[in-house]
Amino acid sequence: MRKTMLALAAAAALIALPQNADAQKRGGTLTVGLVSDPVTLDPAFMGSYFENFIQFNLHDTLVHMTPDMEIEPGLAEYRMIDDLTLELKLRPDLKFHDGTPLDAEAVKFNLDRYLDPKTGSARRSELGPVKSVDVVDARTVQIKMDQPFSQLLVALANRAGMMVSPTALRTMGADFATKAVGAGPFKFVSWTKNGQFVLERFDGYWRKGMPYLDKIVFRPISDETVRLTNLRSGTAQLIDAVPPQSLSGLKSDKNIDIVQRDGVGFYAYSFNVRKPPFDDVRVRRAFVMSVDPNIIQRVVYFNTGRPAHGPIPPAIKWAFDPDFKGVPYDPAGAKKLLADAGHPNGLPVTLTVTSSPINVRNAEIVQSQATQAGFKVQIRQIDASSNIRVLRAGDFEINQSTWSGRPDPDGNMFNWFSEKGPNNFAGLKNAELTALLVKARRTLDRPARVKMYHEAQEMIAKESPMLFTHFDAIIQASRANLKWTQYADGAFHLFDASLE
Amino acid sequence: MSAMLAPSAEEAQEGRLRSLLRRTRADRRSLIGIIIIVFILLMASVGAALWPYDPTTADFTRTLLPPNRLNWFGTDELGRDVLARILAGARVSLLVGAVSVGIALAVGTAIGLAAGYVGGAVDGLLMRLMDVLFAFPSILLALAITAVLGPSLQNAILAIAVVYVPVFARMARGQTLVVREMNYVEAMRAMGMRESRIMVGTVLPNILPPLLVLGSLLFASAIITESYLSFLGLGIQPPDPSWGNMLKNAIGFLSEAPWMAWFPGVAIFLAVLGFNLCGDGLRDRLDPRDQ
Repeated sequence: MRKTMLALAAAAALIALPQNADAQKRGGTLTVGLVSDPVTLDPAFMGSYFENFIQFNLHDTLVHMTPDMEIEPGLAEYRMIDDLTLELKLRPDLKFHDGTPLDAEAVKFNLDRYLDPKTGSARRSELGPVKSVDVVDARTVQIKMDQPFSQLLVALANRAGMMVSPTALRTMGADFATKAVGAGPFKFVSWTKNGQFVLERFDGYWRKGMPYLDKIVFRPISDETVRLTNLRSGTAQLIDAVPPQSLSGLKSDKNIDIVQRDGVGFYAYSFNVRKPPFDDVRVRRAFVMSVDPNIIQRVVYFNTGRPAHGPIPPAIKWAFDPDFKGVPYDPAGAKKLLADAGHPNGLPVTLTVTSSPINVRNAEIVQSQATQAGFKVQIRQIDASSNIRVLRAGDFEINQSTWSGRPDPDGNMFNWFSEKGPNNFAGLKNAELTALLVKARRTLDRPARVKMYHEAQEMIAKESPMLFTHFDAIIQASRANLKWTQYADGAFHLFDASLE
Repeated sequence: MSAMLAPSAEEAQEGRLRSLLRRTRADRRSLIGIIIIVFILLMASVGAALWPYDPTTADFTRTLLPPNRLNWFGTDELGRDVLARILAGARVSLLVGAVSVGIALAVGTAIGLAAGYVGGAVDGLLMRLMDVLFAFPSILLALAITAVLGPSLQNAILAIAVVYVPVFARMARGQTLVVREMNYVEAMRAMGMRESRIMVGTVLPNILPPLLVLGSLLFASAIITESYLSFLGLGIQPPDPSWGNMLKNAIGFLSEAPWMAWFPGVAIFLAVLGFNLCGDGLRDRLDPRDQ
């Protein structure tokens, strides 16, 4: 924890004083152990959680997120001219990795590409009501919208704000997905699928003196024990997804720093409200009442992260309400409610989870607790890709619905609880809630939005389309000689990392 | 003269079985194997009934305890007693081994016998079918079958049976081809006995002993295959234990709670050892080069 604070303090100092670069050592190759490979390097088509770990190193975004998920200038300074117009002023002399200029025209090219329906990019919906992108001068771009949109800067700080070289995109064709040319702190060297992904220092990066590292090698190591062993042996200097149960053992190792903080995602289950028995809100509430997230927090997560009662995670500090308790744990009440709903002799239900040990462990605790309230829970394990199919087809009663999270409450709520939201696996239809979530994303005033999200959270608890159990902490670990900064979304931003 | 042949063949058969049993008893390796199997059977029945803990009841206040006075094999990550789960898991392993090998033995022998005895187009068709099944690595085939049928204990058993059918079929066919040419079979045919009766009444008993040996060996690998399938989440479903899914759970706690892996590991090792010793002993006794 002390090391975490030191790392954060160091990072904060760096962000505040980017000129003061000589404090950190230059050079060296960093090897990073990840859970899985990225799927594509083209931001237009990224869709995997595992791209988070490489994307901010290869690409740079128009605006940035701080480790605490606040917006700050990135490739460009920004200001809202009015509620419908955002002006971006690019830093001088920006270049892509291929040497071509990153100017206003390039920004327009990129955003127009994301917005063009023919591209078929997932970024289009993230950019919401954006109507046009206009070049004002060589370094200035104005983005105009049909409606006020609170999520524009959030989108531009992520994949929708990633700028790639228009020249490379035209000349490389299909190869671009595996050899992308961006403007991030590191440039592409090579990629052997399921082997290693190599980036090297980009000398033209805009932050003076950065990045410090010469080279980064990302290696997919899906097994958590093997990943940990690579870190212990020093083969890797940084790893993602450290299992909570290994923390106590690692703490005694002086060569290893464990870094953890609240994450933006949630661990939850969706009830299928389209069909019996969970079309009855009393049955859903009874199930939620029967499960105590505190037990899961202790047994599965070894007191890391926090118990969850709703979709707004603690990492979004300005919106998180620590006093919100959702539907409180009440096994006796659950039993009574289940009887009232017409199931006095118990109710058999099937809980579908993807078959990884941590998911099964979570499910077994839910099973054990819900049984005491009269549910007879059968666990069905399937592989992750089948589960996507099952979720889309609505072929389940209760399904594990984990979410890596977004840095704004909208990202954890709009897609999950609005009627047509792509993650509304529960099939909830609540016009009032949908209207509120739409209104919230069109509101720019933060305190007003917080109020709306808290109201939405209450409505969600009342409807109980989901059982929330846990806010996972982001737990990563590094060798003690690596200086780096952890972000609440878990993504690696290694422009300021150095090997001492 | 020919009327005398059939009974004498049966007599010879009886004599061979009797001496086989006698020699097996004498064989120390087989004896150890049998002791192990009987021990596991006792544990799965009597042991499971006597041991006071329930294999599926979680106790969240007693998680990850090392072996102690109350929990001889310790507790797992959900506070369940590891010994209770090992004992319950033994039933699963034995059930999977017996049922899947039983099905495969019956179906495979029928196919092999028919193919070998009838020959011709029937032989070609049946054996090409078996070749198709053989073309896939067994674990992969079992995985594919359970993935299609959905994960459950029954489907795991069925998948393992399907994987082993061609193994039995091939051996049954080979043995049938040999026995079919024997003088006593020729003689029965000359007597005008119905082909179906010769096939089932005479050829089948003569090809059975080596198939039983194969069965005991495959029993051991069925237990291992079940643990693979459970390990991958395709076998028995939680909270019910099998040795395979216990090992799967244990992987995440190898340094924190190694006892979670030790005991199911030792159990699988012992069961496989027991059946392999038995099978090896039987095979040695039946090897014609030893006789």
